[in-house]
Amino acid sequence: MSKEETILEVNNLKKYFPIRKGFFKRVVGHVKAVDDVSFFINKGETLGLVGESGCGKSTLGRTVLQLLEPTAGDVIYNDQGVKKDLAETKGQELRKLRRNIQMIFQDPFSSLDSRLSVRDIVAEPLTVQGIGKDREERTEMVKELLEQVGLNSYQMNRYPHEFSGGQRQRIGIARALALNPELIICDEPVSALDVSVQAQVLNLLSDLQKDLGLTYLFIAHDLGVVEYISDRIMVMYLGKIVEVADSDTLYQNPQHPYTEALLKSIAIGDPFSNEPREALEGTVPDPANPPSGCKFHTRCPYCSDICKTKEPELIPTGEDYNNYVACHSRDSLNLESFKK
Amino acid sequence: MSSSNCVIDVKNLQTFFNTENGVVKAVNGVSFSIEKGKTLGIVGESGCGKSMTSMSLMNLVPRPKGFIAGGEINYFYEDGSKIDITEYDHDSEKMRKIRGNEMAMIFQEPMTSLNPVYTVGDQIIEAIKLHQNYKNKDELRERAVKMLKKVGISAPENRVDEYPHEFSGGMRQRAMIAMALSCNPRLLIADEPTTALDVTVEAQIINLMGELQKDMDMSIMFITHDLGVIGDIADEVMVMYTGKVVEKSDTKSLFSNPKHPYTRGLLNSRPVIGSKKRLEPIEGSVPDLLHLPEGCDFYDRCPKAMEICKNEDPPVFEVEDCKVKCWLYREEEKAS
Repeated sequence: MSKEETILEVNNLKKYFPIRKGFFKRVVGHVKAVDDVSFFINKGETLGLVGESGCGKSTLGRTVLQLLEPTAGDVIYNDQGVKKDLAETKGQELRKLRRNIQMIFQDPFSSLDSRLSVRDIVAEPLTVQGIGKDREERTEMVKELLEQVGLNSYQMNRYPHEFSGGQRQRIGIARALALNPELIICDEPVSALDVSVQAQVLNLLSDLQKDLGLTYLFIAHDLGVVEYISDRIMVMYLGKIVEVADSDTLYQNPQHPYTEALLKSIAIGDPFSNEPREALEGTVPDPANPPSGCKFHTRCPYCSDICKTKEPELIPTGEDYNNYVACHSRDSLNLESFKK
Repeated sequence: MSSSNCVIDVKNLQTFFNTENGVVKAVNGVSFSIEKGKTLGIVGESGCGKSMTSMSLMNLVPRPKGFIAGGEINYFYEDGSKIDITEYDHDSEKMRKIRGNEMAMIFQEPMTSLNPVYTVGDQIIEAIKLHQNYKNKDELRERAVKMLKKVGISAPENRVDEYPHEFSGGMRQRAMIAMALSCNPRLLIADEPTTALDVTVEAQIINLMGELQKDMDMSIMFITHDLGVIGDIADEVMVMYTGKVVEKSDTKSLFSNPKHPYTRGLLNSRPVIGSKKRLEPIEGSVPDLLHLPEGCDFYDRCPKAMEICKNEDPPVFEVEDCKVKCWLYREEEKAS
């Protein structure tokens, strides 16, 4: 694993939610939303994160940012060459580090306070972090930020309800950019938008990345969007990473049966092919009561005996330690690539 | 088109809303027809009148603000007789017989369209009880179980007594489909049925709808903003913008040779897997329906806008079996 330009390194991160039952609210089990996840993000790249709903994508994003307290594991952030474990950092120091990591949320309707004007929404992180001398200076900064995301600065005294979905998402992006972060966690930033607006926001995100040298952790369930924006992609299933690969390799040469199944179910919109999409059977199992062994074995078409008992480890597939897969039969399978 | 094969024929439908600031023309002169066993896809951005078209068909336009201002919605019964839905009151006996029995609808959000305090079985039974002649309780239940089985829910005998919150998103959508199909409708209106679902589940639901359509020889009106899904399921596609149809053609020619600049814009906005080419979004956003521009509604966003587009709203031109509402095709129509 190349370490020199790594901006974030996550080691064995776990987030368990207790299930409480009965009169005394005893803990009867755990939902392992994020279960022993390790990965790294290099500076300036976009790491995509895909999976079905309920597989722990958003929880992972929030746990990295310490919005949820991790149950175990390290989140090591490279702060100008000094490695700091976010999971161990508290209070003032964590707040300072958070300047560097920001988040863009999925729902542009509920992630903006409807009683604050756009100026106040975008200025809030500046105020909290004590950036800018006075109100005037901060207002100037807000103006600049709004122009940067393609809004007019004269709109800043308006309220969120006066904006369309795409414009609101731009406000959310301006807010995330306010503190000049290095890493932005994008949690399904375009899934609530129309295709035309979605393309505008995706272009904006990639322009900003070029101009400001940003690094993204891009969470999405739309495989087309993820492929478009990501350099590398992680596939998650039931709290576990099952495959990591650079995006071309993932689509051309998937190594995990789950990745193959996801690729097969993409709606390619080709009216000339008469073949129905091959749908993956069943749904994601209950995370409170996950299957033994490989968690995917209940839906896997290539399941063998070992899969039912022993959990596969995430192992590098090549020499360069860039691509990883967690599957017992990784060497014997010949999986189909994405067909256009 | 011979009326014997036609299930629904809509002519110049206008659905308006009275608001404080004036009349909003949500659906403005839409015409189409659907043949038996065929699927019509309707695409467009939010706010372009897709859902209001389907609500008008079901005669469920939100009252008192909304109303059907003009046009005809002719529904053809199995025996060939027809009824103009716009002539009937929304809660008339005739309308209630059509809804559920002849036409049924599936909505976008499976959680909000199921009642959380009744079991899934009870909700399916309610529809069957209203429209079919099953009286016996066991018979009704048996029918509900059969429907759940048909839409691919495992252990339907147990699942029938569960509540919607015990179902996953995909299963709820299946239950909705079971409910809609329980009375063997001839026309199924699906309003963004897969938008809230994962790709894997989406593929399951689309396949299921295709199979059921074949089994029951049903017509489908499929509303979505996802062109990928449209390519998979529709025979014919209608592209809507600001309450008007801007392009209508069969699915293959729409994808291989899109005509209207708006349709091209929608197709170019989709990321294509394997190509990292920069996306070409349609600039700007859908105009306010209260303040539409004088000429073509798409003028402000159109990359091919001409002088005439600014002042005059284009009529519909017919080019190679496609209908396009764009001045670009004025000459071509004359030629062909």
